[in-house]
Amino acid sequence: MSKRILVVDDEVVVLGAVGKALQKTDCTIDSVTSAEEALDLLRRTSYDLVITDLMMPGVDGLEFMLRARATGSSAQVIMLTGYPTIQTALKAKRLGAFDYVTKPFTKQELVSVVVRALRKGAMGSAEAGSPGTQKPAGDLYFLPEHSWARIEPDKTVRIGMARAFTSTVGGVTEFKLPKENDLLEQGRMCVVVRAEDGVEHHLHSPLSGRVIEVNQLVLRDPGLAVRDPEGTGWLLRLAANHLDRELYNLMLQ
Amino acid sequence: MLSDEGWIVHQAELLTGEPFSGRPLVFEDTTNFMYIDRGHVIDLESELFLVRGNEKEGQFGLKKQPKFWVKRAISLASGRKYILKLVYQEAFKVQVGLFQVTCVRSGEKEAQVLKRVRGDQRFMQGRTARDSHGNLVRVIDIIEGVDLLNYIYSLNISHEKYFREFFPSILSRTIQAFRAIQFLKENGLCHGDIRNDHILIERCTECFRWIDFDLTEDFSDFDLWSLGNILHCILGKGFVTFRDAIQQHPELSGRFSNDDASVFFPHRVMNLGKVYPYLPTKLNQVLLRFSAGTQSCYSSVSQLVDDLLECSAALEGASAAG
Repeated sequence: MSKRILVVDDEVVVLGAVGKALQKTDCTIDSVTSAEEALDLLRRTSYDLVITDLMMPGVDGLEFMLRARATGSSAQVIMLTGYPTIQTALKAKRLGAFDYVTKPFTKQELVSVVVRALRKGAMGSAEAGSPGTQKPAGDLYFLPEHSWARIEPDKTVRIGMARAFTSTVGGVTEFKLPKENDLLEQGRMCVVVRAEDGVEHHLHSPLSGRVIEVNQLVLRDPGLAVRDPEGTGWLLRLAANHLDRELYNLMLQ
Repeated sequence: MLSDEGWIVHQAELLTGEPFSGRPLVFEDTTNFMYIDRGHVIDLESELFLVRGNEKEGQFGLKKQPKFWVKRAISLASGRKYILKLVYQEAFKVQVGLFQVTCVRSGEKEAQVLKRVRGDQRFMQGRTARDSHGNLVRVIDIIEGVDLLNYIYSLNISHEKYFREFFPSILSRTIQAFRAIQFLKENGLCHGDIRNDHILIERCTECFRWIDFDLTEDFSDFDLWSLGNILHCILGKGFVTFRDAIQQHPELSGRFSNDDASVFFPHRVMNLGKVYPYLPTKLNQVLLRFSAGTQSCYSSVSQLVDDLLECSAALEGASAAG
């Protein structure tokens, strides 16, 4: 069944851009220019996702999120803003926003976050673990919602997709992986993940380092990284540059 | 004189004490900085600089990988050593905790900051010069010293001893460094890359000096929140993770909540008062304003500085009384 998305922004240009970017997602999109109109629609219609601007005259995006919850809506929320601050991003996350996207955004960025938000909404609160997968020995350090790193006995580091990421991407048809000897930097995009629906998602690297091995199994069978993301579905092996320092930026499972 | 290869060779050998092999290769255009290497010469507005190599971490606070756009160099005329930052424009997105931040690297922006902070010893000093192609090269004075992070990690003492004996002085100098960031903000500028290894402790003065201003983020309060990481580091004597804390103090197991975590780095403990009970409540409260559980965020650096000044005065008072 087609998903239903509500877009709220006081700038008609932005509504048009969002609608155009999401044209091929097969979603039904309603667009309104004020929080009041959006709340009215939320009371009458069930939405899977709400994309709202942060800075709107009258009721701003954060207040709108609060009021939207009060209508009983369980839609995922993506906050858009041209004036990003950590303070408002933190508030949005605390209120349960799936993501906080800064303008200007590319079509790929928006489609990626929308698809992932819809998938998360469809999963509900269920964990997206894959039963029966293997978890090799060794601590996993996470770049939240993106990737993991595991230190091998020879001090090289394997990295892969976090379950929180794979679960929102869905089936994967192709990975664009860096080549051996390419240099990665912590937090920066390192892998392009092409999902079954054709959408490309960007995975960010948990650590900096030089790529010393690419998992050929995953190149031949991309689904492996979804079925067993923390085991045989690892993506890259790195010679890490600043392991001691950078591990402090990651979350230990 | 500038075209006199003999003079270049003579000066290079005199200043380095090394023989110069071959004919000097002079770059008037630095656009293709990857091709500029040790032993080459850069001509900036008729001043010649002998390139000694690419800058690396530990000498200038940059990452260990060579940064090919940052050259160590000697002025062939004056014999002074400099860092030459060549033009490398890039924009990239980086995941910081739960947030995706867009960063832009710009030489023009760094040049603006250098101009505004000229003579202010809280910052690295430098000037700009254009190459023949119009690239804005930053000619940076070398700061001899160690970065804050390495300094703190080099102190092989207990946290309590560190806190009682070293921290008051570190806090006092950190406040000055934070005031420097406030100064930038008041002048419509930002640092853009606030990290513990971007504060150098100058060897001769022991003053904290900020380096590297070429980045800008799309989050307007990114500098302010980054100062919380500095505070965490100096108060925790390095980064304190939940795992470290529980390993060192098993009795803390089960006593932490998600609210105790850092906003930027969710595995770091911002509520250090739980780990080190002798930390003054007020100081811990300042730190908690950078935690995931904060209900009251700082809206300006000056608010943060005011609170820290209070904490610093209280520490000095306690020290005098003790």
